[in-house]
Amino acid sequence: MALLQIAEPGQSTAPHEHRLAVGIDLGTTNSLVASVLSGKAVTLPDAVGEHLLPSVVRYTEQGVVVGEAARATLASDPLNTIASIKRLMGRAAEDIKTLGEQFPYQLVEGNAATPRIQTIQGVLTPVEISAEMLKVLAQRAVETLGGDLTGVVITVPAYFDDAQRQATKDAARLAGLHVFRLLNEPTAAAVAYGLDRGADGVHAIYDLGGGTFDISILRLHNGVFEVMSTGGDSALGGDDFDHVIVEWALLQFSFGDVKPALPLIRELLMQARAAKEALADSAQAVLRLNDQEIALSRDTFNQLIDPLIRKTLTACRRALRDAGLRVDDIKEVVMVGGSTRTLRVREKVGEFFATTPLVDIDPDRVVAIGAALQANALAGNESENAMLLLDVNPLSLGIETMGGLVEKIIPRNTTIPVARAQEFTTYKDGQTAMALHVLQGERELAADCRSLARFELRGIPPMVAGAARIRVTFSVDADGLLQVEAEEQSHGVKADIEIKPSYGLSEGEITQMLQASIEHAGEDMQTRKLAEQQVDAARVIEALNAALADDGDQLLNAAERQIIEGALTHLQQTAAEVRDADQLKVAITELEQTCDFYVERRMNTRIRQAMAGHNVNEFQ
Amino acid sequence: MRFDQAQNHFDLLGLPVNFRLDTSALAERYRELQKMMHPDQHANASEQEKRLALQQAMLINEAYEKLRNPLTRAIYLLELHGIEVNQSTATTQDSEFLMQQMVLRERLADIKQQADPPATLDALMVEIDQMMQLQIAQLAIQFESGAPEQLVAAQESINKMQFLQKLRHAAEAAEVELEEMI
Repeated sequence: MALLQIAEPGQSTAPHEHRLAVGIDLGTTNSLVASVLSGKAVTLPDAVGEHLLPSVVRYTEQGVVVGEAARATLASDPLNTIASIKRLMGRAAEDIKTLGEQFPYQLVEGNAATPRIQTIQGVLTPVEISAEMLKVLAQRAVETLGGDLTGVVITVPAYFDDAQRQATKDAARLAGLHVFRLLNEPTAAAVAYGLDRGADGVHAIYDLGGGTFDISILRLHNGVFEVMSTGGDSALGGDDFDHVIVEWALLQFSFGDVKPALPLIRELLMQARAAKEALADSAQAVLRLNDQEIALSRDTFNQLIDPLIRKTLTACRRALRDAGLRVDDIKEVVMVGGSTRTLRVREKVGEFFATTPLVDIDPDRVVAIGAALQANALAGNESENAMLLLDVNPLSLGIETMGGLVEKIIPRNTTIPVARAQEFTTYKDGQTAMALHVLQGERELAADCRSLARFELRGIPPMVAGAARIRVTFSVDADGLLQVEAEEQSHGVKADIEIKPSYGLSEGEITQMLQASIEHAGEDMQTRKLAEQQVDAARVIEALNAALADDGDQLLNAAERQIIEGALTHLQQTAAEVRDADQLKVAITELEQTCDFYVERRMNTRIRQAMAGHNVNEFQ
Repeated sequence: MRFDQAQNHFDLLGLPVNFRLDTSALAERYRELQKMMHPDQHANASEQEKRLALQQAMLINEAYEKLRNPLTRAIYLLELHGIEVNQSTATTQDSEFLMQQMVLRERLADIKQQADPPATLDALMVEIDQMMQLQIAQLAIQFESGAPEQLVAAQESINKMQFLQKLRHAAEAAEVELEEMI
């Protein structure tokens, strides 16, 4: 697909070869990769036929092991075998402590922005560990599909904040993957059921995993999917079902005066899980401990878990309210996550929404399948790119003001991409710098919200207090990632911004890691960079030529056209002669800047034409 | 950003400049534009096109958000008439309206003492919504006329809407609190 080429609705772009693209569900417990094969989205198995890749990475002296083989050594090599790393993505070193015994790793003190784990292969961050899983999944796809991947869609929980999304994207970069899009897991599930191709309506995606619950309200209208609201509980899931069974069982079994020990509770937990699964088919399950045996009836089980299910329904009610809807507005309910296999969950959810939930697609695979469909569309493989997924900002973005309060700049559930500007002024004469603290969350006090980053603006022209007008623009892109720009209005000076992300890796650290991994693979960094720039240059040249042929005559006068063609020729020459990646990059940027006005003019013309068509047809 | 600044939000979405608005047409135009400009439609494009399309997509979102909500739409219309509405210092001289607000606030504060708090709160919210609908109807008439004194009246209606919206948010917060007690 080319620069400036904006497909007419319903009109397909030029025929081209099928581009390989995959969807990846990077899960806490298991991960999956899926792709569209012969028109059907399927999850891809590994060499021995397993679809689920346990999200476990083990570091050994010889190298890295991912998946089942790594999981097998969780107990025997706990310090080098890392599981559930998703919980640490975009989190601080401090957070690992609150997660307690789940993470029995050797932490390296120092930088607080990300946990660093000491392994036999050195000190590693969650981003690097996740990258290992992505590499394995991508490699599986390359082998199955027989070619390089054009791009990937990676799913993230709807509640993921900026830092967690950024960390996920960084992991993909380290794995050498081009990310088309980070897609919310519930949105992917809706796509898997083809709700985007169905009749207009509002749908609810109910996602109950092992440890988290997500609810999303999506609206489909004329082929456009719009996330109207999201909600949930990051500490509620099917594992809690097991725990209530254990609590109940501890009261049923008699232990005499002895307090039940930890191993016994672990044993009971496994029994509870088995009982939960058995109750999907039978009316009664049996728990055995030593020589004792107790029966758990489905009725009792239902009574035990009803309060937990009710909590999820409260979140559903809140999500409906955020969307300005009522229960009877909901058409379909999609069930996602292994815990929706529990019959009582299906029953209660069906009752609440007054409709039978959709359960046909394996709830563990449905997210990966939806991601694969989206990846296929974004790669340009569909004759008609009808799919449009509009997402919302899951958490409010704000800045800290006087007295530690938060002023909201972009409220939660605002459709993204979005940009909002705010004006600030100086409070001291001659002040040339200013600090901003950006937070994410719904609470009023900065201390109760999650810190995203601290921005320092420098280079404000010295003026008397209150005279400077600094316009700070906060923008959130389609992946939910924040960017900040600042400009002093009266002098038109762009302020320098130094960003200190509160969590995650700095740009410099990522570059270093990338360089290390390229060198490790025996490649030359310079050669790789040059190849990338050459591809870019070719793409820009081809696109501009196509645009000029299309409407250059209508939109440009002779002088303008001459300038653009001059710049085009210059880039073509540079691309043919230069062997330095940076030099080529400069030439590309120059051409892009030269024809910026032309691209904008084309877009504006297209928009006006589309809307003018309506005015003529409908208002006259 | 150098996107067509001359265009106002109504022009951008191909709609007549008016408070009365065909909301389904608004939604339709919005989606049509996003189908052209959303970053997903440019996943394979050059960085330049991605950047410009992203800016446009943001502008389209902003226009849509502002127009679809009657209160922000009214404030925006006044802006187009050259009248700035100060949103942080909304006041009204209408003492009857203020009394009514106080009574509603008191009823909200007493909700937990009622026999059936959720039902009482529901009824209160319906009342607030009806009062908002009334202001919206007024605004439609005021903007239809467009006469200077009608625009002053519209400012008053907007102020009242802001009162009602704050009350509505307080009621929603109370609802969350009630739910969490269950």
